[in-house]
Amino acid sequence: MLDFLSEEKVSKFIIDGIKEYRQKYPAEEALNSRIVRPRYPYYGHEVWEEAASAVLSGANLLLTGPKATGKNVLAENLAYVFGRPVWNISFHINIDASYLIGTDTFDGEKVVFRPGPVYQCARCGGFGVLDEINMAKNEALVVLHEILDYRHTIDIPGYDSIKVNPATRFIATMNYGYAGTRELNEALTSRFVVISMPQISMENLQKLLQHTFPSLKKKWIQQFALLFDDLRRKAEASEVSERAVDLRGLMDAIRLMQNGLSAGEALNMGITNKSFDPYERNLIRDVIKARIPQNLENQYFFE
Amino acid sequence: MKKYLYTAEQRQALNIVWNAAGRYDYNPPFVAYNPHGVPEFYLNFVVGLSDKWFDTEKLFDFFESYAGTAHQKVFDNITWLALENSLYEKELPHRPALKIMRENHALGFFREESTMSRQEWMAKNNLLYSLLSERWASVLGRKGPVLSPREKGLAKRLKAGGGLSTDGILDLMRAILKDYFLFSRFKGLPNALKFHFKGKLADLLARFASAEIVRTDTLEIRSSQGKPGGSSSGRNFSKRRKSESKNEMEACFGRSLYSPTEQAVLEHSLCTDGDSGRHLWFARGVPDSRSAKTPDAKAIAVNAEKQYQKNRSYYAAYSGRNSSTIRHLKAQITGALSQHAEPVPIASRSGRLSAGRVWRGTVLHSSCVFERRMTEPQPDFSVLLLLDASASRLESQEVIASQAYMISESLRLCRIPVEVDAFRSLRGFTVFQILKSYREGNSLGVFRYFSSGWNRDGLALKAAGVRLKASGTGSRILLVLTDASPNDAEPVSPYGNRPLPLDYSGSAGIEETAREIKALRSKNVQASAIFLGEDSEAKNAEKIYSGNFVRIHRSDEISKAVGRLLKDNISSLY
Repeated sequence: MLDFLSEEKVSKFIIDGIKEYRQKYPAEEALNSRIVRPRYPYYGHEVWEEAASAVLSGANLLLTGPKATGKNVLAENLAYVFGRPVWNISFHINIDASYLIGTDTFDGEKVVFRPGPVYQCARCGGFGVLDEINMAKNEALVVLHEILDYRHTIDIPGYDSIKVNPATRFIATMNYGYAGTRELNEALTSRFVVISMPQISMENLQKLLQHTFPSLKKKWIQQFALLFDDLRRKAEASEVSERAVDLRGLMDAIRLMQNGLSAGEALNMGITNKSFDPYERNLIRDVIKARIPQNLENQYFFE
Repeated sequence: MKKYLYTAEQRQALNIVWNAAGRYDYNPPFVAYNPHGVPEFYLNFVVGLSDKWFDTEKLFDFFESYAGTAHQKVFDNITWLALENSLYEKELPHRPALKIMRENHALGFFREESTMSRQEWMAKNNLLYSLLSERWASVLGRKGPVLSPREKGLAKRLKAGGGLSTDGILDLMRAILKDYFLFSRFKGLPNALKFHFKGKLADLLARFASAEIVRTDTLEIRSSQGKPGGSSSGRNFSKRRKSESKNEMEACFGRSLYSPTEQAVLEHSLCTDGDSGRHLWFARGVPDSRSAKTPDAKAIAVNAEKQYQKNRSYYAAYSGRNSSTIRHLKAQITGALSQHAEPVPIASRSGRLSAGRVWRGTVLHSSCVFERRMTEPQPDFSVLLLLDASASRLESQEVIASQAYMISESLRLCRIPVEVDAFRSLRGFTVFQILKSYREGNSLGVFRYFSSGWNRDGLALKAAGVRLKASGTGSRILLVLTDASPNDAEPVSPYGNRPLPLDYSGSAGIEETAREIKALRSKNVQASAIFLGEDSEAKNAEKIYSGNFVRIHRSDEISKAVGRLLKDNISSLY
């Protein structure tokens, strides 16, 4: 993965820093199952440099940006590059302190503490990915304050206060203005350094498609990338909703095509049918039709 | 102000054009439909490509240069034939799917041909049809129709190459029109002499080809068929204001919702200060024209019935797009609600034992002594949508009725109690018409909206306070659709340090209205406005609603604006 960073032209200084970090904090063998090679690499050397520098300097990261900007992909990539176990915590409206830190439970004859993901991550020096952090109520997030700031401790009422492992980092993601999200309070925001994630560039998208689908013909890699761009423009012009701008869906569709489904059916399943509005579906179908022939079989697209 | 509204099909056609052009601010001179009125995918795509590859301004000028001549339709179509070939060759290297799109279009052309009747065949027996047939046959590698040497020559010249620049292709077209149609007068004719392709003639001409590229002048749709002063009694009605007779109001707007005693109490408490001496009339709406008792009442009833039909037809004409708007607005509101949904304990037969309900088990032998926590949004607030129904809204009655219906339906579907009321002032009365009450299970009553008279916004807001109380919910949201220009024929009555009456317009009207908004807010009503007025009146909206308003430039943006306002209002309720 460090070679990949060199290919992405990440500065040697930062790559050396990552190597040093890995030597300083070798991963425990018991946690190897949590060190997962990411399915997709993150392309974009500027963001790589910003994010890696932040992690090296001990900061927690907040990745903000619209859909399909690779927030979670970057978080997974960072954890893997730094060789740390990952705890993925998906935030939602009903998340509370006990879910994050831990709660009491009954074990045989006595009440015991059952640690939550944030507690485990902080103790083991993992990378905690706080996904869609602004979905939770601000009251629930107060427990994170002392973990994230200079105190680096977790004080559990009725139990001990533990010191956070120095290898621990928290990477939060959020999509501002997404349905169901709220304003993040200032106290929490100030405990992160923020990267505003850019839209994936055409060049990087083509690289990603090429990496994921090596047998996809070059001219179709370009057309799928352009299709994604067409859909993004349509959503930006408010002609269709953001549902259509679905990079995961596009990748899934190509995978379905690889497994023998026709392009039309695969793209319907991956993208078009994610809109439940018949009028919008027509518009999306028109965009797809203008880039990808619908009835052709997979040998037309793949080598 | 021109208002551009599109049906779902028109919008779809434009989207295809925009997609090909790569920009969404392009206003195409043409869009294409097949004979069934469905957007023609490939031809619209070609229209969009023309903006991508050619100088649009020069193309526009060329189309304008023969606009209004007897052969305009034919010239348009053969110009597009030439453009199609050139654009195909330019775009193909960048878009492999274009070949299949073109072949599918050609197949569609011949499929349509095979379903034509003898009469349609006869109507299509002309040069343009032969050229189209030859083009699409060659695309499919089939044998084309038999052409005369002259037609063959023309067909060949129309296969313009991909290497041509804008000037190159326009020079080619000028030469073709000159050589084959003896046409060289490329300046356009004065408007008065132009031969317009509209109505039935346009329909006849549309039969020339199986898929037709048509000029987009039909896309501009007037927001209202009503002419100022034409569709309802308008201001003339209110000028004749000598008699402030309640009987007259009852004849024109139906029975009051309140008994005479309640009415007197309401007027006593609301028609005070600047509104003293004025009256209020709360009614369900205009009675049937057959039962109208006075000529005025009959005139109003007849116009209201006509407007009701226009409102319904207007909504039906855009029903596909309107349903889509309702779905989007509903999703927006549900999203805003779910952000604030608190888990609510619900009595249940299983779950966590509820100490407060245990007695029911022993005393009532009820098993419902447990509770479960549900997070389903249960809104404890209501929305009152208040529509300015003064004569200043004559131009956009159908649009307002449609938009109000969509807002009302979206809220109703989210189980939020909603009432839609319209207000207007006539003969010293501020008539408050309840179009849809909180309890009604549908919003069809909103289509009874019509505009007439003046708007005494201050008194209408006081009346709105009464209706807001009727909702019975914990919190209340008031949305006012307004031009922020209060204007009534009856003056502001002298009160306080004002010894003389003032005209209910300009700063006096604004002051009165702003005061009532403040009063409502002090009673915990979330009051905000959708401002539909001119630039000069934006300051008034700022003064009255202290920034809590959304400005829209087109009436068809109302529902989007309401989505934003509701989201903000719902957030501030919690």
